[in-house]
Amino acid sequence: LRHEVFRIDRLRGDLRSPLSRGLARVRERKPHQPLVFLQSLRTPELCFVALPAKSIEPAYELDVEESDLELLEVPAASSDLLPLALVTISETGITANLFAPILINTRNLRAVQAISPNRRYSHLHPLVEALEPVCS
Amino acid sequence: MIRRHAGQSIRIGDEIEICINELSATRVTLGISAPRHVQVIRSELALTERQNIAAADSLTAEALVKLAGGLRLVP
Repeated sequence: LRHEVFRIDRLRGDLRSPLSRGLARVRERKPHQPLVFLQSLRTPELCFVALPAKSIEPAYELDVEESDLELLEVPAASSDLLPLALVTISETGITANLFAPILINTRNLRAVQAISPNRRYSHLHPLVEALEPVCS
Repeated sequence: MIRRHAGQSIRIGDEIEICINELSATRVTLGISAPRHVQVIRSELALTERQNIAAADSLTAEALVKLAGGLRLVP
């Protein structure tokens, strides 16, 4: 996997990308959603929408290889690590990749995509099942 | 299915050789010789790569509208 430098946006800032109109709409309709927008600074056409793993699976537990912790420069899985699951939107539904989350060290802002050593979580975790009942 | 001991190997075609270097209770260390044009990567890495491409490709303006309409997560 290649190295990319990403700008992280909580869907609040000014987004100069072809997707900005769609993003503005998400922001308008879901102002309180914990959606995170990852925009590559090196490859402008590359971007992802992600969600904190805990917002999808409240009992989510980090499952991370020693070598990834070294890259993040942390001795052990700590509360400084923010796991983000990349979201895929398809015809059949919306899924999140909990198997290989982006782990951000919020202290030094280094990040890796940490592929879990175990198959405890799916790379196609359905978000529809994580939906709260609609109250209107 | 082929049974092998540590130190033994198998060949796939004329150009690929996989050697069982080390065995432990839960892990195996493999040595792989293959020509340069044959990509050798862990399966989960290939899966992750494919899923990343799907995630990035799925991010269109229409998809974001769907996301705006569909997502109701635990805040």
